Amino acid sequence: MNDRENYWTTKARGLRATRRRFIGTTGTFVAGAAALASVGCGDDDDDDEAASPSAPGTTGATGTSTATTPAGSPTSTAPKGTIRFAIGDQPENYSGIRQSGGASYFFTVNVFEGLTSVDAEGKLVPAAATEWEVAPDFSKVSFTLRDGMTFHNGDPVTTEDVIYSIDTYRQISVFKGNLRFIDKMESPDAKTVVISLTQPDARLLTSGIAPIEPKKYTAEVGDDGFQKKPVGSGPYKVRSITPGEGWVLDAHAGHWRNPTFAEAIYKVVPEAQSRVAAVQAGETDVAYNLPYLQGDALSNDKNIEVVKHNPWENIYFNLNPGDAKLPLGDVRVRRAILLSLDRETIVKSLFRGNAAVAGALVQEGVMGYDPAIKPHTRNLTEAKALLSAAGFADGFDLQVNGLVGGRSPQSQQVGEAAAEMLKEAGIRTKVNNLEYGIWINTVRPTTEPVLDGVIFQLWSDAAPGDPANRILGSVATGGAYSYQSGQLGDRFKQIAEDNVKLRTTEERSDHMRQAFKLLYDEVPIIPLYHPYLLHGVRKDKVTWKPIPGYTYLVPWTGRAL
Amino acid sequence: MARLLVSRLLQSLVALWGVTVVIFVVTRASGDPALLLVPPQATDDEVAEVRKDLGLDESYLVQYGRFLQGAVQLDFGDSYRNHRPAMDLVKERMPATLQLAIGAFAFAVLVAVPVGVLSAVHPGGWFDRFGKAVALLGQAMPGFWLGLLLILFFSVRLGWLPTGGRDGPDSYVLPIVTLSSYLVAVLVRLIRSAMLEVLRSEYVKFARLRGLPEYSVVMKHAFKNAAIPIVTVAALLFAAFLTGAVVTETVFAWPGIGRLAVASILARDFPVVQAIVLLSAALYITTNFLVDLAYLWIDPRIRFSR
Repeated sequence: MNDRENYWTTKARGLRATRRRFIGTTGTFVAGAAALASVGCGDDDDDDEAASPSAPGTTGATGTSTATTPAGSPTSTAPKGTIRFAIGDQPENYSGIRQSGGASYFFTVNVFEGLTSVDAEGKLVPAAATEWEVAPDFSKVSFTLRDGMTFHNGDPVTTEDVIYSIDTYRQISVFKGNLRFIDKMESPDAKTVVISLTQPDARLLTSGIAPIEPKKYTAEVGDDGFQKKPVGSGPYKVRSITPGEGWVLDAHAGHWRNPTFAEAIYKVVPEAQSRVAAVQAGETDVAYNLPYLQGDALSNDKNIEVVKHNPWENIYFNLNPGDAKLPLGDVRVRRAILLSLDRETIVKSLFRGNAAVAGALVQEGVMGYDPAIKPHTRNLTEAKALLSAAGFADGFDLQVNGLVGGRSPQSQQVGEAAAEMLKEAGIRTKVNNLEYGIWINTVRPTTEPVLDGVIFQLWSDAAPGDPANRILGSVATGGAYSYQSGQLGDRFKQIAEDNVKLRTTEERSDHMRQAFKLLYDEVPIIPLYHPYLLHGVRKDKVTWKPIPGYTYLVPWTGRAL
Repeated sequence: MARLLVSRLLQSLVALWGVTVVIFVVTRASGDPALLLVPPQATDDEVAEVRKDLGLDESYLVQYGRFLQGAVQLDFGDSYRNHRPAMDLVKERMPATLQLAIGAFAFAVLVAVPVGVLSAVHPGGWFDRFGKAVALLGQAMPGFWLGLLLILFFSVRLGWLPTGGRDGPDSYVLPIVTLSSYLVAVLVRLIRSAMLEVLRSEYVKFARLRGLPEYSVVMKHAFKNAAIPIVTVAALLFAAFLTGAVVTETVFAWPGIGRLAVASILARDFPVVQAIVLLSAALYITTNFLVDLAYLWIDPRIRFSR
């Protein structure tokens, strides 16, 4: 690593960060903005905070939906100190447009940004655009670019760069499906990009649209050159990248996020126990995703805070209701399976409390969350009665397909525990643990092998928490991971397709509740739990917190002590 | 001699070709990489498009032909995940692996030769018992466990050495000790038993009767003759180090080939897996070839019997 000495020797300087300005947004997202401010400020003397603009996601008198955010605050404090992250995997790609997810996000969310983004609470906020306006018929969305925004090489961010980036993303990104309803883009003036849609699609806004990359620079250096020296417009710019080891970032001066740390160092430490050792030894400030068993032990260290992070992940059993050999098409049988499972015990014993029992498989902060919906509790008597009513008083044979490997914590143990619980209800259960490569084929109805029984499944509602794709993908007819068809699958499909035509977050959230009520009542899948991640934070050196629904760690939610 | 070399060379080429067939078939049998590359919401059409972009929609024969054609030019295509030439990724990781392998090998030889020889020279003595204990521990302790123990003691408790990474001379100590522990154990046992046998031979007794100094008897007469099995095992373990020490690299966050191989296998990144496996096979075959040459140098009987 070119700046290796920094990694090992730089200590977080003993400077207490003074409060900083938050460049925020208000209205629907003001709560998130305030949270970001509180993270960055430390104290709450916000009387001189930037003036509140109009609310994003609200419907104005003219029938247009708008979102705005103020420009950067001139009174913001300079970034100070260093934060060192130990993460588990290395990025496969250093381009925002070309990345295919996974660990690349740890890099790209800091170096690049799209027109929209999320705040410290995981809520949607304007980013490269300071405001947007949705046409009354949702045929167009107009974005106004932020004043004075520059790439890390000093070039201004122009509408040409934005259109180039979205266009390239639509062509080559594995996530291009998110932008499938874009018809054309134009720039009526130097500050505005108008995206015309073939049909209304609110996911355009929640997807962040596309990371913006500089057209001119990319043409000069080529794809390979860009990978070696990526240039974006995000809150941090690249100082060095060492493949397999990590990367070092510097704060991008003047960025609207007001980066708190002057320097952010990401080091790849694949083994979780080694990350534990690194934070204990004081070599890292934030150790990502620690083993649950280590949580209690690390909590006893006076210098370490174990932070619980909710990535808004949903774990459930998927099932094939059309399987002629099994009675899973009967809602009474599905509910009996649900009521047979002691999910509280799974959470308590296997996760040591580092998970939440799932109700309708949607969490607070995600669109469609309804606090009135409470998780079912285990009821073997009712489960047996339901089975009896469905004509299976003597039970039936069921295969539980678990997932082995590290893709999801405790997945194998959950499958085995669930099988034992189902046996107590009279369901004769056999466990079949699948390796990831086989599992990923089985969860898709269009690939071999076909699902037999129930299968461990996971799906995250990444911030800002738009579950439309999950509904379409996991329970709607024709979904990539959905075995549902017929009336129930069609209803889910209709709800999700109608939902993305709504223009505001409030409208969408209210409307989405019916999907989760339906999911709760009809049990098309068996909700299990929402697992948390544990991170070890050196509280003697930094204050820092993760973003809900955001699996990736960013420096700007913390500050040096 | 020349005939022997040509024969070995041809055998090596056939073995390499065999490896290309095996690695091509095994990677394809592991499943569809397109499914791992697309996001959850991807439709079947989008999956098919990715498959087409990667050239996976073509017949296996066409794919194999393209792979073989590229392999002879050391061009394994672009990584599916990184969108960069697979060989570039391998080249980036090779220096770290080489440093670790050479360091661990040198450390193992430096420790094992004196311990093994002295154990054999003084069988049953305290040094022999020490040598046996070293060998037993080295072979019995999994590298994963040993590595974590070393980290906990030297990094967390004492704070003398870094927990991982490749950042200056002190960061090499724990990975080298961990990686070499197994080789040290194997070599100590091998050297001891080979030396015990040789030291009991008539020509060693004769050398002693001639009044040669003990050092000369042990190192010049006995050790050289005991070296053949030692060279074989040491060379093959060195080749294994070169092709990546996955456990050590993972525990110590060492950016070598082993970690790249594991990540690529999990992601079904065929071009990178193929590049690493084929290069690893080439290294093994080359090492074997060099070991054969070393036999000729060490043992004149082999030279003259051909």
